[in-house]
Amino acid sequence: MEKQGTPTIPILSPYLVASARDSAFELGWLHPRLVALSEPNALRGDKAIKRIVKGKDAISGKPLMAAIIDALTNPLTSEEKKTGKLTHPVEPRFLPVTGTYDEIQQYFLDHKMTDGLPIVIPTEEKVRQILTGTSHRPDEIVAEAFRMGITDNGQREGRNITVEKVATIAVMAGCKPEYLPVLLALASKGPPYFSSAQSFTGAAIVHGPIAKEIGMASGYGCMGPYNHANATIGRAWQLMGRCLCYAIPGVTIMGDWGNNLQYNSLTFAENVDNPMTPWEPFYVEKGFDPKDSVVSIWEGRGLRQRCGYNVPDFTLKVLDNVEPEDGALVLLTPLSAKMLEEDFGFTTREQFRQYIYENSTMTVKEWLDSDQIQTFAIPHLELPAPTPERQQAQKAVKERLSMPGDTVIKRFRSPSQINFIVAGEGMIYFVAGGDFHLKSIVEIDPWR
Amino acid sequence: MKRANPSPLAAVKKDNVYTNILNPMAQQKLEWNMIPLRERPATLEGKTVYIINQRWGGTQAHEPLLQAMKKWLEDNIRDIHVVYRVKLGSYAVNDTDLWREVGEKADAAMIGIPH
Repeated sequence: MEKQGTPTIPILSPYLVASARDSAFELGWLHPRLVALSEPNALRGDKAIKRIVKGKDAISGKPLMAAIIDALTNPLTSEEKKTGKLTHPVEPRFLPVTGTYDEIQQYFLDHKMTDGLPIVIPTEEKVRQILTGTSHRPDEIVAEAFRMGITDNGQREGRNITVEKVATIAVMAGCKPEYLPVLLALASKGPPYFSSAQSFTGAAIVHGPIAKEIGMASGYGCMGPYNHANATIGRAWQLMGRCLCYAIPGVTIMGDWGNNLQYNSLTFAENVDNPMTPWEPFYVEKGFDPKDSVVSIWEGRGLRQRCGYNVPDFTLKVLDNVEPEDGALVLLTPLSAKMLEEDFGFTTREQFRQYIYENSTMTVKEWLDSDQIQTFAIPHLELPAPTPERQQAQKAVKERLSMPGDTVIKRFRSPSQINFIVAGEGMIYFVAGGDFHLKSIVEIDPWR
Repeated sequence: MKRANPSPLAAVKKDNVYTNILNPMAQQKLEWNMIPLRERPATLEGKTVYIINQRWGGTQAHEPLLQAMKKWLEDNIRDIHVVYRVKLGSYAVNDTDLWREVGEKADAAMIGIPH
């Protein structure tokens, strides 16, 4: 609106001031006029609203409404009238530092280039070694842009990410050269998660022959801190977010809690070998050849677990807090999958998928209480629906808005939102599920 | 016999010195234009002010506060004309028609409120 010629100010939560300054800078406003509430207002009651209106601007300390009037009427300072250029520093290929092990570790920490844990120092020699893991040239661009948010809204963006840049981060995370093709495949699709006030994490599940070639775990403890490939590939992907998107909590990363799963991005391999598994592997179901190596990329918040005989019922229970509009990821042990087939009669994945679709339900009231419905589904009814799928989704939203609050509705829009992966050794009937939606499946072999 | 403590400097001397360390940070955009703020009106009296609900968390999440602000402005500033508008779609949608309308009709505007 300032660009259209109208003096405009944003009104902010007090917890978004640093982020707003950073975004304003990225968009060209070096001295934005910001006003911040004394406390968050969203969905608060009358008491809080009255207190906020009578309260103070968290930035200037003036009464809120006086601060708004001042921001809209005070004459501009010479700094605010300035034109010219804003710049980011040139990132040199080599860091301007030499030092002992401890000094370099401290340098990486101080410059926000780590996850807080010690890194392997990415010397030229170490990076050269890890580059032997791919046939691609070090200067080849893997991703033109790396961003954790909406760049048009001022989110930072790393550009022209090269094979060497990914290899440098792979060294830092402790990877071996043979892991590099997996990392390049992941890097080609960007960082593990989107910056949101909610605390999302990425998940990377590796499928096909490469998992075994590089020693990834798909059985005992595959999601625990025991396997070198699982641990370091997931860590490297997380470090890509940190280093390639300038991820800084409170400035560019707004997850209120963060997510402990972000440390290794929930990285493991699908168990395709256990003879108990009755169904074809996930990636084959998705149309890949068994000889292909691929990585599936997911985003969500977490997994719930249940253990017991009634796997179908427990699957519904672990999914009962998945928000509408999200997809679902169900993890089964090989034994759980076998029991579903043999004891419960689900001879195909599709039958079990249909069972979950039909039986995972919620009330209209619960559906309406969802932040995603309020933030996206309802406002997006005003937008054109370019595809039949979007038209169908809008129709369903409109129908639900006209239903009584206690009406029972399906949790998922379609069975295709529900995915299953078999992992773990298979010693027990165990199921885990959560709100991870499938973002993409990337071929690894082209990055060898 | 008392043993002399080894000098901390001696330990430092034995440490490897790491050189030629590659930079993991990506290059961001190098240069872009600074945008000056728009000249402000001297007063809001008699002026048209738009309050935009950007719908982060849903329309209802912020409507009570924005409406309370509208009322405060109307009660306290003479002849002010306050227009409350809900933008199109979610917070992520670029509502160019509304931005154009504000540019044409408003003397000042405010938008809020992200969480």
